[in-house]
Amino acid sequence: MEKRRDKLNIILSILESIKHKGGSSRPTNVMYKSNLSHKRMIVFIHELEEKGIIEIKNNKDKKEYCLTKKGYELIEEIKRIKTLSDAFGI
Amino acid sequence: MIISFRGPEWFYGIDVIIEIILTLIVLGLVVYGYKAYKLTKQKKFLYFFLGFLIIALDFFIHSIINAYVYYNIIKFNYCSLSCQLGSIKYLFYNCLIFYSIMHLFAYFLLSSMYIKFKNKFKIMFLLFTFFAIILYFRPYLFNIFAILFLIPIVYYAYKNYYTNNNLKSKLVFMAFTSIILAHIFFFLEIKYIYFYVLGMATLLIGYSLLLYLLILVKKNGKKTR
Repeated sequence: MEKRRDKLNIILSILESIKHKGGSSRPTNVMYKSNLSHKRMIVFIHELEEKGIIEIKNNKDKKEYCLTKKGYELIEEIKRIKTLSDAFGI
Repeated sequence: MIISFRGPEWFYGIDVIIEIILTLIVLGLVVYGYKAYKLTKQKKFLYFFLGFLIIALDFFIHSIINAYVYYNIIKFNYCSLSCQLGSIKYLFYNCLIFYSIMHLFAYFLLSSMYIKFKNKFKIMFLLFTFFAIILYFRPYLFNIFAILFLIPIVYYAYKNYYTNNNLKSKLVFMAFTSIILAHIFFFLEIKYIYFYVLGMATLLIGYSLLLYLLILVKKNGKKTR
């Protein structure tokens, strides 16, 4: 059985799915790419928005999640933390 | 109370410098642990952060007190050492016990990253009391307890290295193995004082491996930009 993803991996997959779309992405794309249910994704999105990591913009009456500068920096930081936690096996 | 200062005389002060270097290395791990905990609020990162923070503070306090002790040894000449340095020896002894208890506490937190304990705080309180009593009368037993706490960490580090088979997990495994080895040398110090020098050198190698890991982690972040 595959190991359950932890919060760090989920946040990373959300942020990377936005980054791969050039820094702004529709909710459906984020949901599919990060492999989350809509309800669960919204919880993470609100948390990331509160921390200033992403911005929610309305483009032609459709929502878009945009990465902030802090968001781009966070992707690199998470990668480093993930490398360290993988090295320790935690 | 029969106590002596640790290691040969020529090593007085060198161990202080080594401990300051160790403090700086461990602080690097503390920063990553803190960032990870702040982001995820996961307990494993809290234990990582607190465990290494205690070790860093422990090294720092120990090095400062040792520096003070060595300064006083140099200030007073050696012939009057036994009669004039009673209070210094008392400080040195108590500092050693405090250092030992806090280190065991830190190792317990680090092993909690891998092993789930029920009633963790109860266990911690009981262990703290037990170690305080035992170590006050038998300070050299610290190294035996430290080895016992480090064995599961080394086991899980090896398991992780065996599964991933990469340099970074190998560094962690080798680092904790070196730390265990250092405690074995510190234990043997009661027989032969030069084991203290060997222990400090091995400890420095262990934490240097973790420093190398931190450098690789930092480079890893840059590559992905």
